[in-house]
Amino acid sequence: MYFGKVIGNVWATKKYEAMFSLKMMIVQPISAELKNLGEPIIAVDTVGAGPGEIIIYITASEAVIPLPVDFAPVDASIVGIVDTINLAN
Amino acid sequence: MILGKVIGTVWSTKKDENLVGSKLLIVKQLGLDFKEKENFVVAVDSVGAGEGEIVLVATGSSARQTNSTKNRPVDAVVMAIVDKLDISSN
Repeated sequence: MYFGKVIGNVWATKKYEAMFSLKMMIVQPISAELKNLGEPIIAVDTVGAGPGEIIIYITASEAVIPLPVDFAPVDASIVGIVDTINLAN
Repeated sequence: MILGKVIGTVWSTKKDENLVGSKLLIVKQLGLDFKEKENFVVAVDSVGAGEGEIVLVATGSSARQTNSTKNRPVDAVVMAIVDKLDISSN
């Protein structure tokens, strides 16, 4: 699982048919200190995350598990919205 | 998934027989500013994407989770054609 920040969303009418109802967000991977870590990715939202929110996302083929469909070409999905991060100093 | 642009097609007659019938697209990765990056992938098309189109590519074993790539030696699939990106300012 990784931290990310939702920075936008993707509109795609023409997509793999099983993904018809899925919302795709643009996520900037971040560190626990909320610093940007590498390139933005696209992840399917399963928890109603909105732009600006700090989230947790999962990758690889497990990303399809939280989806309403069980067979879809998804390699990243948002599985949680972060309230607080407690870092041991 | 990664954002990409279809820049070409691969024609290959001699290949794994499980790839027969798959359309192989060359997809350059894009930044959110739509500028092309160095890296590219060869991805199987599953939505009828054509040259020049902005697409999304799923990679890894998720790429085999479509009817046209199931049980095939595929680790990248074009699974969406992008209409628009909404990027919030903050």
